[in-house]
Amino acid sequence: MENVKLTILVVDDCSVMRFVVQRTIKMCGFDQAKMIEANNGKEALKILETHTVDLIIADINMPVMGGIEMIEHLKETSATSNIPIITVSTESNQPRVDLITEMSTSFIHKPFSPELLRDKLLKLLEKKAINI
Amino acid sequence: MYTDKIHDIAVNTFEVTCYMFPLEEWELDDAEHMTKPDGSIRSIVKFDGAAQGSMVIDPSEDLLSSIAANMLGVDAATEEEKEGALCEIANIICGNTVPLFAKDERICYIRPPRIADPGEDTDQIFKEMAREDIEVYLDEGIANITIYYSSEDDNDQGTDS
Repeated sequence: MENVKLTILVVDDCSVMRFVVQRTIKMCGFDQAKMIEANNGKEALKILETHTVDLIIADINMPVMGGIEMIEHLKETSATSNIPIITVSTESNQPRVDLITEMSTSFIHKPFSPELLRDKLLKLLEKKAINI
Repeated sequence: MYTDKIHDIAVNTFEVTCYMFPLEEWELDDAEHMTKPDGSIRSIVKFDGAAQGSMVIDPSEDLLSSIAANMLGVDAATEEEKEGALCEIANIICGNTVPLFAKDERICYIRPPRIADPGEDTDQIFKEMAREDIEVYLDEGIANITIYYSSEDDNDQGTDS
């Protein structure tokens, strides 16, 4: 299952974290995945005007446009409203976690292990939440 | 008051994110020979909302290099990569720590981390605030972490921790 060819948009203001997420995905066996990077939500929305992606992995706390605002914009447009989104955040406030979980397809709390990200990806593939 | 919890959060962050492990008690004697943090590269994360303040992380030179190298899977990281990696570690530790200072699950907002200016005297800037100081001894170096904070209700601070 890991050899499926996914296009994944990684949205994080920290270039090191974008690299870590991509490396983790590759390490988990999704080495065929094509990665696209964005610095923040605004940049991600711009990219999605011209690219089709299977999955978005997004940080919440970003300058310019954060993850929550980006998801609100994605849900407003039919072309992007069904893209599965894994949100990655240090958020620990339960009401906020509930809100983020409700808005996205899956939520990962930082710090996270490679295995956790792999499990989340596999679960989305099994549930066919990712249309490939 | 929160020292042990913050220490545990920091150790967990370094373990999971950078594959580093805390020194055992019997190893701490050897730590005397390790390079100490000198404040030359520090990351600072501001937070506000139900609790206000800032967290500063000051790693030793060895630790800073290892954080970036381990996160990126490279032998030697660039200065820019080291700063980016340190800021991400600061973001994770701060994000997991700040809820300790907020009561009744009220919301705190973590601002994007940044590298502190070389002459930035955070002790002076935040002298009116409460503070917690933590030393983290890891197999790859030492980190000093200071959190300056005040909550919306300082009188109740920490009573439910």
